[in-house]
Amino acid sequence: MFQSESPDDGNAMRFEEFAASRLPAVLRFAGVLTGDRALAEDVVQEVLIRASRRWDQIACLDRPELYVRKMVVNEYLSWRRRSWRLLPKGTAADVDDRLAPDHADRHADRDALLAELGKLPRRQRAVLILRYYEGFSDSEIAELLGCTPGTVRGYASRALAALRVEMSPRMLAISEEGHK
Amino acid sequence: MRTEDDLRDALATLERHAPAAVAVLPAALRGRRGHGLRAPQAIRLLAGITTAAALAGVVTALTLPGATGSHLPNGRVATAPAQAASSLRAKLLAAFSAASGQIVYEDSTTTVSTTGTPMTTQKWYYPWQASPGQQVRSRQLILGGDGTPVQDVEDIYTMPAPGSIPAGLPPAVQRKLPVTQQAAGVVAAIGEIIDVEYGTRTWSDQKDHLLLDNDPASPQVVMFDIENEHWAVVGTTELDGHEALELAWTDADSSSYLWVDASTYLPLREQDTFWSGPAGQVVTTTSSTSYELLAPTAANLALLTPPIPAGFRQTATQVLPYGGPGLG
Repeated sequence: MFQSESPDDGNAMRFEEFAASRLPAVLRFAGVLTGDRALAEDVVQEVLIRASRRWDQIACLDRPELYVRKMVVNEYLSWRRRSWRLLPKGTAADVDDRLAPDHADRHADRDALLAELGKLPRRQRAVLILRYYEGFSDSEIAELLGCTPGTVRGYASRALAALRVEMSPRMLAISEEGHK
Repeated sequence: MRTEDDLRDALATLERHAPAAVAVLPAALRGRRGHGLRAPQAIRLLAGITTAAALAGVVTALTLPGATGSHLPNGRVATAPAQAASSLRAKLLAAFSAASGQIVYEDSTTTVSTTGTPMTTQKWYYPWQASPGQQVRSRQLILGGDGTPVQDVEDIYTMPAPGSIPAGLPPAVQRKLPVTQQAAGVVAAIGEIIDVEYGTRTWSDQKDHLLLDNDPASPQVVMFDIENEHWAVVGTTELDGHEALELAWTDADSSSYLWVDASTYLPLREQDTFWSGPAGQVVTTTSSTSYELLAPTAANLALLTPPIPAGFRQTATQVLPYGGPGLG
């Protein structure tokens, strides 16, 4: 998925081109992944700084935008490790509030679903978002997360059960076959 | 029991947590003058938000201190006496004011040292200095390294009153807006965006869309930069057959030159260099921009609208290049 192109083929995407054409989608992905704009902002900013510094290598990959998404996921998964001292003190309810949507114009069950999503372990949440928001196959998610497709299916299965989401027959079949 | 579609619908609502591009831009693409801000060019590039004439902010910000003996980064010495500089500044501001109803056209090429490949943008903004309540139209066309279009976007909106903040603006941008308004004339407004995406061969016409633009000729910008920044007069030179005044502006991480026509006092060209990053990993960004003021004739106003190539598919919103369920 991330294999390199020849650096001499002249087709490598420049960082400015990436920024112009791909960044909005990455920003939306980060917003969905984190459920928290401030966190998404921090995560993407950190990723872009690092990506811009070695863009000449990233640009040679077959799909640089996918690699940037991988960086976003990894940054999100590791964020708490590096920044926990900066998190405001509070109860679990406070954290849930940060992840909860505006209630004024949202459907109640969707609000509840999102609140429960906010309680999932980050890896489970990431798997669901990569699968159901980004539309990645389990194999692609496995490559992004650095695990096996079986592990991805395990995360997904537990997360869906926690959210009381019934897997469609098609997805169930795909899951059982171990493919997309 | 919930369905997978319920989950997909719920996840889509989380897009509202997407940060503004202006808030995440790395320093290498940050624009002018520091201030810890994301620059107008960066805003335009990264947010799918279009455009304005960065030029006007630069030029109307002009202060011309008594530059005698000031050493410039290129080794030259500024020579303009203080009285001449003061007079010149007044002439520049008068010339810009007289041209406030024109279309300003920018043709800009930017190169980042890490990639070495230039990126070209063409921009049209009308009217150059819009008043509150006046309709603004601005278009930005981004060209790829081979000169083919990448993205072509027009913003149409009513210039809001100074300091107004529309509902729905992300908190991060809300926090920074007062500062960016002051330093770079950034305006938040609700308007229409016509977006043509060449990568996906799609286009959209989005009404009532939140957008950011900049009004670089605002009095706030003028006052802020007069108080905080200083152009210095280098001297005169010939540029493309015009006798031009050469001005310079330098600070810790940037160096800029601006040439204005010596007879009309209108801008001709600007050359900027920015440095960013830690020692040993410094990224240099150079940008060269030429300026042209166009009369608002029917033919020139037509330049503000992006052409939609035959065969492009209309979408409701900007397409997510790799985001849909069809991936993989």
